[in-house]
Amino acid sequence: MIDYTEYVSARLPALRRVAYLLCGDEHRADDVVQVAITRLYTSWRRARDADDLDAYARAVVVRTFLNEQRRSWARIRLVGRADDLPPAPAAAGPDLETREQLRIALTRVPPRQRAVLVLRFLLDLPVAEVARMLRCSEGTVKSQTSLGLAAVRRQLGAAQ
Amino acid sequence: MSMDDDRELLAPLRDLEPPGASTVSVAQAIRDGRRRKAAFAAAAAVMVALVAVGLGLSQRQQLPTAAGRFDVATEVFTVGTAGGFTPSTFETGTDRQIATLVPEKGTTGGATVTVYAAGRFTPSGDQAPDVYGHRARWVGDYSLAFEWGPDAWATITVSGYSDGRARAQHIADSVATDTVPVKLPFTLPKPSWPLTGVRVPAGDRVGDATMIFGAISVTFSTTEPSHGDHSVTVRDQTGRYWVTVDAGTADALTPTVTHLADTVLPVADPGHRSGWTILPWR
Repeated sequence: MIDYTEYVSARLPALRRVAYLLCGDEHRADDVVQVAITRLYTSWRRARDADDLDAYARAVVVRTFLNEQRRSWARIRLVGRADDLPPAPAAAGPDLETREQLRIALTRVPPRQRAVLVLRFLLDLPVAEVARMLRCSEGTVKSQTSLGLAAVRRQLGAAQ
Repeated sequence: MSMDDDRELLAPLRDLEPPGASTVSVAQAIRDGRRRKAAFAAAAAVMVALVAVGLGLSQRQQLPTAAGRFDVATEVFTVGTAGGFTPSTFETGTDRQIATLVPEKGTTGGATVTVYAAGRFTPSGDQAPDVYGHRARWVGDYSLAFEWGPDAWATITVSGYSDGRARAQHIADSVATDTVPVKLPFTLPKPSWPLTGVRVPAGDRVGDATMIFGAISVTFSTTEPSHGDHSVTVRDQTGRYWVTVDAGTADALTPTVTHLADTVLPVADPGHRSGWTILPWR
């Protein structure tokens, strides 16, 4: 039977990466992971019996991220202004500047839409699994995807 | 735009990794998790001790069992946003306290969390996965009960969803013991009837606040309420708010009861929870 410490220690880099993609900030990502693995500890028996422990742990991170967003909504800027973005790089392409601009644009997308984009396009999860994770319908995932992509393109367009 | 275009848009982020070293501590998570699990056990122990002391001093003769009682002026638990629901109202009582939850989105369904004092409720049903290490049972298709202290149970009921059990589990995970004094947006002279409960908006919400004296209740509203059959609604003494006294039955709506409405005084700013008071008696 898998041990909590052993499992979490091994999966920590992957969980941090998920949180970092969601938060866009490594400090906040670490905070989210810290809360998430605490919750995982309190529900370890259920987690250990889950069909897919990795999916369970990932879902805890995503839900913790969304919950933390709700709790601290008054202290943060939910959606930034497009003109806060850094100017577009001189040369197009997937270089570091483009990636940084894209990272910032993603952080300006509302949290739930951001979660859908990260889960679908960066973690390659199918729509059905994203819907289960976010406890919504597949139709909602698709509509949130569409809205999220439009928001990213809007942010990038405004910065150029 | 095709799916490939969409995937291509975010492709530069696919190899993105956190730039710095991790500050996450697995040992800390275990310590915090243990503390969180222990919170229920500790609260139960405190409750048993308080009940024992209280009964020993005043009510040993009246209560033949070791049944517990809550202080109606204190909220003994909190519940977070979970399972697609968020807390809406909180009602204290001597035998149980109830949090009502509403959907985060839309209007479908609802949920309640009821925490019973020791000895007040024992569920029957199939075994359910433990909640914070406490034994739990399924009660019907949409309710989960867990034993938060010795012979003290809490139930989570979800309506309107076929996956009610899963939602109830998520809500249960967000329940934590607490001791929060109840605050009210008004004061009044202490009536001769005992206070049996208080119903207020959950968290920092602003809305109707009610003091319950058995079958009689006094509700303070910042917006004009609808009128009931056995109640009287008047403007408060400032003329800006409304006070409703509900007697439960038409016969009980005596001049003494209706006079309660005239005695209510609002706090300086009922529109902000920070200005509500824990001392409602004048």
